[in-house]
Amino acid sequence: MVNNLFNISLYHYLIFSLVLFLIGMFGAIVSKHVIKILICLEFMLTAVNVNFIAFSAYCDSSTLKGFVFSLFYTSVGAVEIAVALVIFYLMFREKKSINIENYTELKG
Amino acid sequence: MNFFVENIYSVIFVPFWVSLILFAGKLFAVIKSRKIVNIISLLALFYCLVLSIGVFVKTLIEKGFIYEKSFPFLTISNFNFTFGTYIDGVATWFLLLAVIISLVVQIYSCFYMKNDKSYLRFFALINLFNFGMFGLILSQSLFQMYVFWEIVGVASYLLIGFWYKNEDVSSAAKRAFIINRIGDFAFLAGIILSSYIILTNLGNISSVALPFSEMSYISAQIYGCTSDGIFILACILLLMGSIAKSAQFPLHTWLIDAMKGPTPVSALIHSATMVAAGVFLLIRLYPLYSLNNIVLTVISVVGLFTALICSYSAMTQTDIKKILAYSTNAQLGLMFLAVGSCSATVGLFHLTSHAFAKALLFLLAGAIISLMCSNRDITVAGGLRKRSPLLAFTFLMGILSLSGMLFSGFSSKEIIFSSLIENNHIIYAILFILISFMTIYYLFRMYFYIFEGEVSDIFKNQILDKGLIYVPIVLLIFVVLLWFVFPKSENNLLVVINYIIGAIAIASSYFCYKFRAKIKKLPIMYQCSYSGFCSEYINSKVVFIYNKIFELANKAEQFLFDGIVFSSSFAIRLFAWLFSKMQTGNVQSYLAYSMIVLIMGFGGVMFVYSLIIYFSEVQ
Repeated sequence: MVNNLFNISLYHYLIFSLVLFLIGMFGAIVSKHVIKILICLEFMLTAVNVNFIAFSAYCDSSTLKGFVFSLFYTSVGAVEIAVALVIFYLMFREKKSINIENYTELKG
Repeated sequence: MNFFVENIYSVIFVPFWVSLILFAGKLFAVIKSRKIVNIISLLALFYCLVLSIGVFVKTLIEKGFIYEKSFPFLTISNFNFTFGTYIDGVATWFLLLAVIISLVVQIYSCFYMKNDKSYLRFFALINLFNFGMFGLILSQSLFQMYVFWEIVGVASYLLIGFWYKNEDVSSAAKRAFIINRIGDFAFLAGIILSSYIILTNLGNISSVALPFSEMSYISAQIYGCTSDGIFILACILLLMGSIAKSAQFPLHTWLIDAMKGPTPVSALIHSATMVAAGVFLLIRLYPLYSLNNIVLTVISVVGLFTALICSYSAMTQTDIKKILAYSTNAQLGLMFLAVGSCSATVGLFHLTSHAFAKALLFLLAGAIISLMCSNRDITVAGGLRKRSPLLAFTFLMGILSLSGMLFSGFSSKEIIFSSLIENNHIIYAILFILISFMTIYYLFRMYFYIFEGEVSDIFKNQILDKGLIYVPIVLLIFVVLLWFVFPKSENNLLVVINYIIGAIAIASSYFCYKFRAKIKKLPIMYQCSYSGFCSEYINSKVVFIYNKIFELANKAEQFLFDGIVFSSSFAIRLFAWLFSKMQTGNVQSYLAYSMIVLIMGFGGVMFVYSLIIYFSEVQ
């Protein structure tokens, strides 16, 4: 029983990443503040990274493909954040607002 | 000579191509110069003239020459419907007549329409009419004839309504077309009925299109296979086509409306060629009609009655074109009488002499109308003989021919009169004399009003275009020439009767002209005559009924078709509204949609996959 409690399997990781992803998604859909949305997108990104590493550790431990890929992914995420921040900065300059509900120019 | 005969079908298509070229030239504004229009149009007609003269000479050399050529048009399993040309003496004669008159009228139009803005459209439409007319004359079967019959009708409609910006003109064109359509519908019904009889009783699939080459055989079969009632019904239905086109009694009112068109059009279509197409059809179907005496009597009576009422109406008209139109009606009635009670050839003679003389008179009337600044009232005219003796002389010659006193009109009238007496139609002959009296009366009345007396102010400062007088003289040459071609009557008594009647008519006409201020108008008789026996009223009633039917059909269309279309489009518009509402512009909602779609997609794939596994395990 005690052994089982500390014996962390692949499924735990997967469920953890799923929960992380859902939290991120919920936050990205619901929150109004653009920076908050950005943080929630990072949550989703991390959840995917966790998936990568978990699969790599449990299913393919002889090579390090998953780890390397997650490294790439983290760096791409960093660049993404940089670009997104610049875009938000420009958006803020346009409307003096950080509320996402004010940016509905594509309304059909 | 064989070259002409084998290529005669191109006579149909050359005007068609010319018409298309001119229409295209108008559409893309390519043709700038009017000279090019003249050259194209006249060259095409000259080509037709050469071919038709060639074929005519061929028929003169070989008696009873018949040539047929067909092209497959429609093939349904073992039924072949062919288009083609069928040439015999009647067709070549009529074709030559139509080509000559069309050529003269087109040369005349070059002068007459000189200042019109829609010069190109006029010539395109005239060529369209030529296409229909030549096709009608050279038709191989009755079905093909019907097709060209309609083309000619449409061309006539478009040309009557040539100055369509005038409300009056466009509605007159519509009236003429609608009344023509009634006859055309009966004609189509007659064709279908006869082919049905042929198909059911004969089972001969090649004769279903009713080719003219087997007309006597087909007629005998139709007569043999059916009861009298059905036979007469078929004949009357076919006859209705002729009646409408040739403006005979029940449907004669459209020809007066047709006078609203340009005068060259009246000369070409509504006096010489198209209205004569009804008589041409009558001659073509003569083998069928001649099998039953009742049908022949109907033809004669219709013709005679039309000739009577229209001659009577023409006696009091003041519009120069209306006099000529009523006269056309009456002369066509006489052709019907000739075909119905004498023979087809007699009808053809009168058709020819009338066509040339009436085209001549119409063209001269065009010259007079242009002199009078588009005023057509003969009571304000007068003394034109002193202004233009040549015009007066030519006009007088045309009148003398048309009234049957000189030239070809004299011969054809004598032929009709003598063959009426030979066939013992004494009542017809007496009425014929009455009609010829009225004809001479109204023609000379018109002549006196326009050319005699003091020179009217309306002519004082007008300069006449020389072409408008010189071109019609070509037709006068033909009028005279035909006199020598036609057979002469041997009965001198009839000639004497003719001249006595003519002298009385001219004298009474001059008397009425001289004392026109003092003569009182007879109350009812004058009204009847002047209104053409209420033809305007009848016309408007027919069109009124037609309009009612049209309105009903319009309502039905609105409820039925538009309803179906709108309700089917409603579903689409609903979806469009939904999807448009989904476009909120908010990034978050797009994210939510994509998540939902993703989940639904994965869920669906997993569901299907589990189903497959489940069923494969069950097995």
